[in-house]
Amino acid sequence: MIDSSAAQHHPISGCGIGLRAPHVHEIITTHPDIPWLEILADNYLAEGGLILEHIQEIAQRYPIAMHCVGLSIGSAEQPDLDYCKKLKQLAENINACWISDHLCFSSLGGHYSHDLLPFPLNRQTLALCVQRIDQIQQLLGQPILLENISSYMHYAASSMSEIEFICALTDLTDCQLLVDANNLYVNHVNKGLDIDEFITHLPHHRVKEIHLAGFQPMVNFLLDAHNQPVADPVWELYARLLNYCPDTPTLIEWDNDIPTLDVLLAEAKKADSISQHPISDDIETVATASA
Amino acid sequence: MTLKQLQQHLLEQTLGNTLALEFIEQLRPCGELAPKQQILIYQQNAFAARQTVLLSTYAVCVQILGERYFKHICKAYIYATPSTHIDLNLYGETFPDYLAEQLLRQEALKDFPYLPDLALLEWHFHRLFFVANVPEFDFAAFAHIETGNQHHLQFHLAESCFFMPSDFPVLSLWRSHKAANPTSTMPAGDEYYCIYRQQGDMLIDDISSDLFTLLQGITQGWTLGTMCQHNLDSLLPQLIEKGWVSRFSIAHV
Ligand SMILES: [Fe+2]
Repeated sequence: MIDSSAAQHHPISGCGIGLRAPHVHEIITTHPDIPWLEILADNYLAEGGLILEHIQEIAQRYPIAMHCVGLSIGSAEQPDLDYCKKLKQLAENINACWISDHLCFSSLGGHYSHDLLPFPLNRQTLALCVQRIDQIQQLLGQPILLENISSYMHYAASSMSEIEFICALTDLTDCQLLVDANNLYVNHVNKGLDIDEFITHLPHHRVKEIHLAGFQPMVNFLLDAHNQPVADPVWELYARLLNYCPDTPTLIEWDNDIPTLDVLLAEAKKADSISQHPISDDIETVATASA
Repeated sequence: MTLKQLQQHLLEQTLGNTLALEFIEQLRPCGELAPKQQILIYQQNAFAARQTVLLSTYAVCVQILGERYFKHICKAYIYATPSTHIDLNLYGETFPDYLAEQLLRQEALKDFPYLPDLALLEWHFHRLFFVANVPEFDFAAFAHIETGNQHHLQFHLAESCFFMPSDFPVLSLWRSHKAANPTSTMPAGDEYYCIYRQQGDMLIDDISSDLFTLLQGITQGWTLGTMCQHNLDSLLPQLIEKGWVSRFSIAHV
């Protein structure tokens, strides 16, 4: 059943794109029609420099969401408070719609993986994440959005499913969610994640953003490579998600082998058209019944 | 194993190229992925991320050595050098030093003695893009310095500039490669450069040895008096105009 509280107000709408260096100049000079942009905030935390000037200029014309990889929510270490302060300052500076990060850890002892590393999902790590998120949200003065990651690891110490963990975490911290449809699909293929269970149990009213990206098929798994167009099964999954979380702002993430801007905008248009012409989750059942 | 130990293990293995049995024992098969392959995926991702940054930051070194050989050279560096900065763009600061060490060790590099200097130039050209803006030089306050204090004036270099000497004309080499018109002539000679950012532009100037000496003197804390003794004070206005000197203070006598 579709959660009736899912119809909600979002400060931005439509499908945006992740702002990447090769497109900055074109966006500043030609002002293409893009509903909103997302930046990787970790690249904009310097106290100045050209990169900051560019983003300030872009922020005057486009709504911007901040996406991070550095909060390291699941890290066994205390959060980096200096990093949080810088995020807050940047968010104020560019009037960011929100700040998001991932359900992972990314650094420890001053070493950075620049990747989204999984941790075991269990009561112990849940308590740790709750404490971290409370602390971070208090410091930032706003709820953060947490994103489900693609993971290639299965810990013996995990005792909760990803959706169980996410439900408990959002209940206990009031944080919001960023659902990455590509990560869901990749985890479904690689680890057997139950997509139906995930989508139906998701606290739909907390989903503030959806990510779409492309994966790369490897010999015996899918790599969340963000280096190609969104794959058909991910578009299908996106359409299903929208049944539960209609009008959720959506973002095309493309980080490697970055194409020209028009390719990204075509992907965003496709997402918009799916969002504007939702399909019923029952279509498959109806079609089967009438066949 | 505590959570912290578990995470330390994963991070170490992700950033390096070894596998730890005690960590492998903490894993179970994940779909078709055996525990070892699970770790290898993270290792390969982390390696590729750092390699991509080096390929982009040191683009002219890559052109000179060829991508394949550059990748071969940087492999050991990447495994030995974890990222210590939250911004991946700032990975690879010590790569020019690493190249200098490799020059002594690798026969194949003996034809490229200028490579560490070229890499240093590329690094700072890349790095200064991200450095904070410097406030304008305070001419009003400068005009009010009491005459008695003038000799004790000290100047401070802007963070948005970096100067370096080289025994090789690496700037011409860098420019020719950037212009897709690579030169192979490499006469030796004393060269001095200042890499800086000015009103939104990244620039590199070929500077005189006098200017280089003055810049060096400034970093060593020379006062205006010392600059006069070296007959270099007349060059100071140039530095201020370029934005290389951002502020002044009065030395305690
Ligand atoms: Fe994502």
